[in-house]
Amino acid sequence: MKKQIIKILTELRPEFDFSQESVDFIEEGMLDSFDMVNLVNELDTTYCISIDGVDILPENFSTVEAILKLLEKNGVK
Amino acid sequence: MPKFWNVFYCSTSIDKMNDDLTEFLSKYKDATMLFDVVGRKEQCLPVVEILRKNGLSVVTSLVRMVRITEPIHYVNDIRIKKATETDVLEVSRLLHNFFDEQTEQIPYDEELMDYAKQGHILVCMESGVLAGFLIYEINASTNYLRYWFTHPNFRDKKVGSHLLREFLNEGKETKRQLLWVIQSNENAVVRYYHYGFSEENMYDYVMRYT
Repeated sequence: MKKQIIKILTELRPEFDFSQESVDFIEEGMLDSFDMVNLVNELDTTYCISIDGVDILPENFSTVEAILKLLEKNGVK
Repeated sequence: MPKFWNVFYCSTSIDKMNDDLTEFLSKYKDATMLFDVVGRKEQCLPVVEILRKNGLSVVTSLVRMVRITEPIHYVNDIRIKKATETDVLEVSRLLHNFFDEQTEQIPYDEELMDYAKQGHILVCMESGVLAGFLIYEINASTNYLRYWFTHPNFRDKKVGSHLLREFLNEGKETKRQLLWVIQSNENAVVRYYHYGFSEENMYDYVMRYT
């Protein structure tokens, strides 16, 4: 699933390399709040889920691991 | 009573938004409120429709543009410098005179002073007069253009283009430049395309309730 998340992120913002594990996407300016809106939409569509508004927080999108945890919380395995 | 309110709201569904909105607006019938509906066009339009049904109207719409950093032909222009505290007062005056306070989210003077302290306000001086300015933010790999202005008295003197080139040069270590532009401002959109920006599927519908 990690690969798929990286693919989604890369399609969203092709100018960045999302495969680096040590990078915080928010702190590095790779994703801003508007990118997060698009990312939520992509994740919802790809995994047929509906991410709750209260979970739309920067820390849930700052790394691939964080996104993975969020997906797991939404029942994606 | 404030002149207008900016409303921040996050909803988990269109139905919930409709219910909340009806209740909220019934409590503040006399207020002027501004809503920004932000997202992809296909996401925004259903929300815009709900807001319309609740008595709001679209004042303007903006589109986000992006440019991936690439080398530019940069020529140092001695008219351009970083804003001083005195310049900030003039920048503030021009913002209030030439920008729409309801739709363009004019920064407070304190915020402008912070931008200046960070060196993120560029001004262009012509014979001691502030002919134009550009305000930007850098967040690690992203360089945001916030405001770009040339005074009408100084058009056709390459004020705007030199400010923009200075901005692009300042952000040469970043990976991308982002900005929001009013869609109907075709001249601005064309200029941004000229400098390598392209439109994204990211819109901001500014809606007003009065």
